[in-house]
Amino acid sequence: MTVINKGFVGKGGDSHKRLPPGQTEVIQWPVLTYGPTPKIDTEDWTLIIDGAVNTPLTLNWEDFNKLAKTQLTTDIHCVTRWSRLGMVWDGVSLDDLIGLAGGLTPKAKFVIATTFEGYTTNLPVQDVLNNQALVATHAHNEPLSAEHGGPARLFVPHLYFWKSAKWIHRLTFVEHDQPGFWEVNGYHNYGDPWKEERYSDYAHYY
Amino acid sequence: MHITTNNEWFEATVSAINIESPTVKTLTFTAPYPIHNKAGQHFELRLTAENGYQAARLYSAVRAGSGEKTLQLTIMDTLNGEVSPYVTESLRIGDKVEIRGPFGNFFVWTPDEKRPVLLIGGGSGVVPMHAIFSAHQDSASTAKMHLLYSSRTFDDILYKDEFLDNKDVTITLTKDAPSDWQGKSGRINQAMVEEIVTEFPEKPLCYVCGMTKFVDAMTEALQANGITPDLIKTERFG
Repeated sequence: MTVINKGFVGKGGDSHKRLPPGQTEVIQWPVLTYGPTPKIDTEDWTLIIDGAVNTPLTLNWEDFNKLAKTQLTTDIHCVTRWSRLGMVWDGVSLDDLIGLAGGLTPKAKFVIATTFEGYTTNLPVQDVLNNQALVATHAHNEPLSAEHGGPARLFVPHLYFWKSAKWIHRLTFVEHDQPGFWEVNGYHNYGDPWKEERYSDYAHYY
Repeated sequence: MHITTNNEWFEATVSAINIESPTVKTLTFTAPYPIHNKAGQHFELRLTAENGYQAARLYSAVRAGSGEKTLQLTIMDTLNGEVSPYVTESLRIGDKVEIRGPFGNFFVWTPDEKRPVLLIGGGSGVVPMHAIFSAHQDSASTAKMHLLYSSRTFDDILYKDEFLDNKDVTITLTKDAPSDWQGKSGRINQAMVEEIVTEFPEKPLCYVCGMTKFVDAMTEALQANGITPDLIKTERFG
């Protein structure tokens, strides 16, 4: 069953071939957050890597910025149906951070990201290895503003962007999955844009 | 008994179109099955072009649903939009679209919420506030609820029948106010928030919805009035 809406053309040009299903390209960068924007001073900033790693560690802003940066040029996809194409992001790869923490132990099956204001999101560990994920500090060579998650946010662009938690504070590697904030509030647990894994299912009976 | 899920598209037929303001319409759709949704939840509306191209957008429901086979969405004709201009300008009574939902389980209010609530809406950000406000009125809840609504002009005010001359609603006009306007004028600021917050018996749970700049200004004004982030829920667009 498909309804045809006569006269509807939309914005489906050639660029949509590069877009996951149901997404529309935007030029500006929308901001979506469930609460107030926290202002985090880099003096107070720390990043904790703990759980199933061999040597848990805490980095301050100065230490973190001495680490080698990785650049990813890629598209980002928000579950609310906008995508931005060809963005350039810089940050420290999770491979490097995990290496600094002495590597993962065999119990590391999932990573739970926690932000400064307590937002959490969960990802399978294989989704953050092999240069797929950064703790990002810059987009298009500009430091991330607070509204976009600065000073640093998780960046996992192959999943819907709510997984790329703003104001990242802690990455905890765990054996058992722990659905995060949006994952328990109606969003899909994994969030693959190419499979349109937007929302979790719940049944209506009638 | 039939079972379906919130991720399945259903065919919805336009049964009424109400003009709220020069740029905003409320469309009533009939659905093939009863709609259940909490106040503050949204639905996705999808359009399909003759060449098969599809586009969908999320819209807040005008009210909570408790099994009616109808659904109302208030939609603003956004400049450069993809879905909204077609919905507000081209859809006629009897036309069909596809809808699915509800979605979102955080920016919601149900009558078991006992805390007092302050709603702050800017422009079409007042739509989920209407759902929450009307759900509160329809419930037995005795918790205080107040709506602070920022509208550009008098003509832009949505749901005038319910919101004008309502002691639980404060409206401020940011652009032009008619000479006989009894409400407030100018943008919502810290002092205006303070005036309303002090009328609450305790620090209220706050829901804020509107453009990002509006939401950021409101959450700062609330925090300047001693309301902590754990009491503030936001929904942003644009």
